[in-house]
Amino acid sequence: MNSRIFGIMRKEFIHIIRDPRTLIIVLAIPLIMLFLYGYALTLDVKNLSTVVYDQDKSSLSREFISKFSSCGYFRVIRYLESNSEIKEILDRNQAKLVINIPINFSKDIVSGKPPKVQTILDGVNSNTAAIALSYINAIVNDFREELLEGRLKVENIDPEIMQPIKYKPRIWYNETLRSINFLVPGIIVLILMVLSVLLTSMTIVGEREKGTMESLVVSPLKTYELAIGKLFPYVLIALMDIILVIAVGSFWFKVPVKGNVILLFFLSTLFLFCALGIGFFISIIARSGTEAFLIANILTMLPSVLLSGFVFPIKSMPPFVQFITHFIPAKYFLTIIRGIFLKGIGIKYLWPESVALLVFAFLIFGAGALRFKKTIE
Amino acid sequence: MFKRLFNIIKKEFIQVLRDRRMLFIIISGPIIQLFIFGYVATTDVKHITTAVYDLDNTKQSRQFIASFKNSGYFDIDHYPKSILEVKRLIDSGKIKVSVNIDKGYAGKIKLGVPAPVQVLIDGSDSNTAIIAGGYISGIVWGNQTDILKERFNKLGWETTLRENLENEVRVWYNPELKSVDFMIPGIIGSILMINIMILAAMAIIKEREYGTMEQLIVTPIRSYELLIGKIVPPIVIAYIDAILALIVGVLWFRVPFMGNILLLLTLCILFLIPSLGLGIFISHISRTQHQAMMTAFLFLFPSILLGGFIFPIENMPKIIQFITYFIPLRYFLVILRGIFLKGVGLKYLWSDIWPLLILGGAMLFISVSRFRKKLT
Repeated sequence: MNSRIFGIMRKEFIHIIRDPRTLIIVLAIPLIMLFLYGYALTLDVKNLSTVVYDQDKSSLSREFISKFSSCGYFRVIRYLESNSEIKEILDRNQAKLVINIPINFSKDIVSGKPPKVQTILDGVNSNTAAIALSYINAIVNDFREELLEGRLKVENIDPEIMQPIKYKPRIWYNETLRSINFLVPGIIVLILMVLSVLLTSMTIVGEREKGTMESLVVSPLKTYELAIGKLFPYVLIALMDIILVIAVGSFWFKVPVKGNVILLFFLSTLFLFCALGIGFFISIIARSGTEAFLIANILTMLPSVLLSGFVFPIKSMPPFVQFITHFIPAKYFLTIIRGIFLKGIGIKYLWPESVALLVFAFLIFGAGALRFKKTIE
Repeated sequence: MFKRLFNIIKKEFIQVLRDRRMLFIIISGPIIQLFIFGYVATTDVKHITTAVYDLDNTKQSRQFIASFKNSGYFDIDHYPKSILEVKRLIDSGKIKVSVNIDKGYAGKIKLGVPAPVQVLIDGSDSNTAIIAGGYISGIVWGNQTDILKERFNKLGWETTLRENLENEVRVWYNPELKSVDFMIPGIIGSILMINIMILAAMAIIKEREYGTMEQLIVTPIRSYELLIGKIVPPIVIAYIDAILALIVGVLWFRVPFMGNILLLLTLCILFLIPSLGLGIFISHISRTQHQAMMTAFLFLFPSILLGGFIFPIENMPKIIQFITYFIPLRYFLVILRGIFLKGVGLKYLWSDIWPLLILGGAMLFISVSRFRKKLT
């Protein structure tokens, strides 16, 4: 028996090595993806292109504008000369924010009458706009406070009275709110998922398509021997990928690993079995390579991006969809990997997710074993 | 010549139609994707799980907490008894925000001394944390204003001195900041690209893999006839998919459609060209379907992630921004969103149309000029 499994493994290894493209793909792609996306994918809002229509042109209005340009979130790229330019510049996508300062801005402030500033925001990208909005509010409130301070001195009022609530926000785990710390663990999950499914989804259907399944059928191989032999090489490759991406994530991108690396590695392996199992299962039920690819795309990769909490918060989804996310292994693994990376929590808090992955792995391999027959249709 | 071409197209269509399962996947896939994206791909931040640790437990502190509830963004369903429990809740991921009010909150407000309030935010999801932080600042600001109003009323003042500046925020194109309006046009673009690329690449490579290319070689069919015959069914299918997706997006998800539908459908064709070129190109450099798939992925993944589908291109490093210039989807997304949400016409879209034309022309030229009715 052992020698039979070994034979299949060897055959698979030879397949992999003989097709150097596959080998390059499985080793280089994860790294390229991690580097590319680690740098490119960011939800941070900075240098948002901003135009200003300053009708007042006073030192106060300039001070107001400089609040925007000096915070780093906004970059003033142009000053407008007329109202009619506003629409065109937004329509043309040349700026995302317009600050419109009325003509009596500074006079009104001095006389104690509130001037009406208008900020027009391009809402097409709702997320960027929501973040920008909170920055705008913070800047405007800051400016208000400064004006207030001056006023209080004039009126001779104790500034403490103006601050009835002293509010201190404290950010835990990701103190600087770098989106990269949030996204890199997600990218790692994605890479492992995509790669494992891609690797295994062709194993069985490939044999079928090439007609070599027939020669396997007549061999004395048992079904489970074939399955183990076929999957083992990919397990090894994927394990290497795990080490690779975790190392790059923490050493290169400086995503803090606050928790236990050994635990992370173990739970990654657990996830790996889920992903390989899915690919294997697809390979069994698909009748052609194209079909396998499409099923893999629709059933695994998209949900892993969308339903796992990679970028889209699960809590914002409709209840029915939230229910579906319970069947997505990437969701559990993402909680695990972020928990270990950023929060530094251990198995004490992560055991529900770990059990879920374990159950999923058993179910998917069980389902595969049931459907898998060493037969030709 | 047209008869031969017609026959090839007929053969290809029969092949596609005969495989029912495949057909089902092709037609239903995009619709499923659209529904998933429409309902799932929301970056809206709401239902933030929140705990309240209120040591003061007075009318004032409860008022403060009520303003969190009333904002509609926070779901308060945890009332921890100790700071340790707060930590445990955040650690286990059960809550994202904890509002901690110390003893003496109400007393300090009465005295006119700043009353400290601590808000803990789980920053591991930076995006949610930033937006939630914005909401919280707004809520605190509102509370402060209320208290000040009371205070100044007692003094007989009419203002609180804080209304020294009025900021009227207007959000254009997507006033409610619904992320579905941002996502749906994007998914239509991706569906078009994915389908046409894969279908075209597979149609050609299949012939080679099954060994039926040899039979085609001995027929009088010309290379270009074969090529056109091969790509017509993918184009038709992808186009039908796009129209289906458009209908679902507008009628079901109520994404506003401000622009010209004919312009959009015309520009869809323009976008098909580079995708098609890429599909044919992939069929060149791959020998098996398996390889073609992997190669397709090499192009698809970056296109979707770097094309501005979710992540804004403006925020990417300069070098990667440069790479995005070669991604056709990048331009098409601007066009789609421009027509959908902004309702702009050709005049404003031109700067994104000509790069598509150039990219499409170049890709089609490279791939077609290499297409031969050959075995290897």
